[in-house]
Amino acid sequence: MSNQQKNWGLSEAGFKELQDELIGGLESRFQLVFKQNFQRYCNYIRSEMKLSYDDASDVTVEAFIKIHRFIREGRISYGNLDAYSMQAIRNEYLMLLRKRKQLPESDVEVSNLELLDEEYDESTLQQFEQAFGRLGEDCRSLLQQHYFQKMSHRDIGAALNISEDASKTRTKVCRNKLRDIFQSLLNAA
Amino acid sequence: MIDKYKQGELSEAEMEQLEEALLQKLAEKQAEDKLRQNLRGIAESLRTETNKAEEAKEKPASPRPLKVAHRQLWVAWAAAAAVFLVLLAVWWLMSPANNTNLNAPQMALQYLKQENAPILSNSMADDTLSTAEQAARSAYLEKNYAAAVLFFKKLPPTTASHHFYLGVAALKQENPDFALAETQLLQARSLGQGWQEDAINWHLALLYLGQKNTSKARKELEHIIVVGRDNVTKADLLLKKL
Repeated sequence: MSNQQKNWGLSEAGFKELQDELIGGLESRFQLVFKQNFQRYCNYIRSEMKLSYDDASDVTVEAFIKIHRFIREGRISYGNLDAYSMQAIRNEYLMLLRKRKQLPESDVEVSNLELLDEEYDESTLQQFEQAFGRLGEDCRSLLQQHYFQKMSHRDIGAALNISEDASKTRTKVCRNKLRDIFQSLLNAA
Repeated sequence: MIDKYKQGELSEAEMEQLEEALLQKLAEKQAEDKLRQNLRGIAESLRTETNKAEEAKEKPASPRPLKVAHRQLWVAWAAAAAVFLVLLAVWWLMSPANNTNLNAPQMALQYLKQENAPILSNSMADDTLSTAEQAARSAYLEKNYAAAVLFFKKLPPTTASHHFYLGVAALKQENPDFALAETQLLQARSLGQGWQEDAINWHLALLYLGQKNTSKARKELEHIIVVGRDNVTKADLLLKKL
């Protein structure tokens, strides 16, 4: 098996380009890699674990979402992306079993690839998302610009025709509103 | 930690740290949801293609007399070949990259007419859109660029992606509004600070060529080549034409 075959048909430079694209928010190369390899991985996990097509497809998609993040964060390097993907898919399969309570927690083999590294509590994030959704449109938009799109207060100020300080103050007000809603949701739970 | 947060036992700095971590996670989650939707779409379309191919294999041949079938096969092949050749010729003539008779501004206008307007990932996600944004987005996706321009103008645009979409919509209209497109794309560039650099450069280059401002167009095209992303080949071609 050649080096490129082991790496989704990519050269090392091609992998670097893929990584740069993901960092820059572009998806086309990654989606192409997914498209070219999906069927093979899906068939692999299907026959290996006797999964239905739907489960095999879901497991493969979830594994690729993790792989996407890890490439972006520089946690996967060029070498044997194929073997890495197989491992990621197997881990997602174990996660699926765990979710369905078909596998006791202790039996899940966590690989050294740190693919099961969700450090936050899912329900806390859900409540936080709920709180975020209850904010007014202006606040949601402002916090999205600052925290999601990483816009500086200076740029937000320029876009909204307000000063940099006014943008900071509005963000603080919105953060306080978010905190109030989030705490009330946590206390109600 | 969340229990302490709930009971107000954390310092202000610790609370802010936790909230910022959650905001970060929320941003990642929303981006992942969008990616999941895209990957599932690809998986579904691959499945449909496979099913169709399998169905075609399983379909029994129609019981026609052998001689007639042969004759029909020849006719079908000839018709298919003729259609293919016509399509190939049309593609060859219409594709800006293959039409050596066109000058750079003409090629730019053809690119503007023929290329699909970009749909950028991780922006305009359904779950975070206001009604006004949804209207603007729908018009843009439906290629009703005049309406998209109206809706985006009404918002008014605040983010780099809003400015970008408004700029592209202004360019993609039947009669491009070059002035509006330039203001908006430059605003997207300034707000985005590197965000979608290649796409912004490309549309600015097409815009300047449309205005026959070759020096500004050249600058954008050269920048595309330096950035080295999706539009390099086309930029190189246009530069050679200039």
